[in-house]
Amino acid sequence: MIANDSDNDPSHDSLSFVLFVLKKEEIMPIRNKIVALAFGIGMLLLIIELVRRRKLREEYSWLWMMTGAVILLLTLWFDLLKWITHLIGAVVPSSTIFLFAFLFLIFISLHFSVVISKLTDRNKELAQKHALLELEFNEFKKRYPPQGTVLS
Amino acid sequence: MNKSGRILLIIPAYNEEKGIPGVIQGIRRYASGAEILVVDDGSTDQTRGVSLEAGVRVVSHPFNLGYGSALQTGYQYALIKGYETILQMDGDGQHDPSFIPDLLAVVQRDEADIAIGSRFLEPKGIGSGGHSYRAPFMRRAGMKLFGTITSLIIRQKITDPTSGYQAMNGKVLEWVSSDQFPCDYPDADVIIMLHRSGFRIREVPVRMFENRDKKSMHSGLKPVYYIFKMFLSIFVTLMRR
Repeated sequence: MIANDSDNDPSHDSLSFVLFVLKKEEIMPIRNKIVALAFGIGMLLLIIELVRRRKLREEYSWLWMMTGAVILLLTLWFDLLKWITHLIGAVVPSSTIFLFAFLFLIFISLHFSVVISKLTDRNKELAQKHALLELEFNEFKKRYPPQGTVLS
Repeated sequence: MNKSGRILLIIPAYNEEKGIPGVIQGIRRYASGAEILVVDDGSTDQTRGVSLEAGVRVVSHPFNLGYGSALQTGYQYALIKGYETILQMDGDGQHDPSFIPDLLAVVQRDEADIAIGSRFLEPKGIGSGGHSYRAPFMRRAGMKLFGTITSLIIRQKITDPTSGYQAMNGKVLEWVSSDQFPCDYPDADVIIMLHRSGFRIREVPVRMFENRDKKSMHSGLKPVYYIFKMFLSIFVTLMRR
């Protein structure tokens, strides 16, 4: 019984497991395709809606738009994913997707760090200018009090 | 109007309501002709109120921006108002105000563009044992390390690169008011940047006191960040032309 199970189970050694997965991933299962398509289209719609509602600026939307577009492209053109998998020397297409998803997250975080640095600098400059203007304004008010407040 | 003789003393202060009246009093004793600007860095205590009561100008940040930014706000004020000599000292009473004339004299006699007060040089007339400052071992080690690095790079002995007790002239003022000034822990890297910009730097012996009340800005994980920041800043400074 146990021996039979292990004969049928392709994961009993790593090489046959890889061959099994490769065979299975020659074409994209239809359920996977539907989920990926729904996810890609949903993501694009969400980004467009956020831009429309002015919750996301156009300049920061392009990276996300590109991600949605890439998901759609790879879903519809599975051979491209397999070709990239072969090109980078990965064994299964899913590792290619994980690798690029991971790289994308790193780059978008770096991009946000750059944006935050810029915002921090501008925030500091604004606060400094505000403080100096407030001092100037208070001194101006002291020198020239608003008319009607000085009676003598 | 000739403004060349005008002196501004900048005191960056964050929650220093206890220390600041004494500092202002000390400055008035040793630099009576100088004008004083307190930069209240978003304090949550009465720093602004006690400074105004003491009769000095106060510029208040809407929120806490940090020591370097507070200094830079003071520099920008001095630049706008046309002050020619600037002295900066901390608001916690750590810097002995009796050395203000020594620092100012170096800049006013044009012996240097910037005079940095060093707690590790022997002050005249105090003799051995005159140092009231005793930093913790790690802090001293950091000062020694960055002092040595700075000295090697600018080929001039720098004993106290972390000193915030400084006097400068209008030329340096323009530089430190610009966005080249690193607001994030400015010390050894600023000395290197100033040297590379062609300014003359001179260390002047001063006395500093230990501050028991204040939680040092070099506490917690901050020293680790400080060391990282300083190495990176010095490295990129050397890479810039």
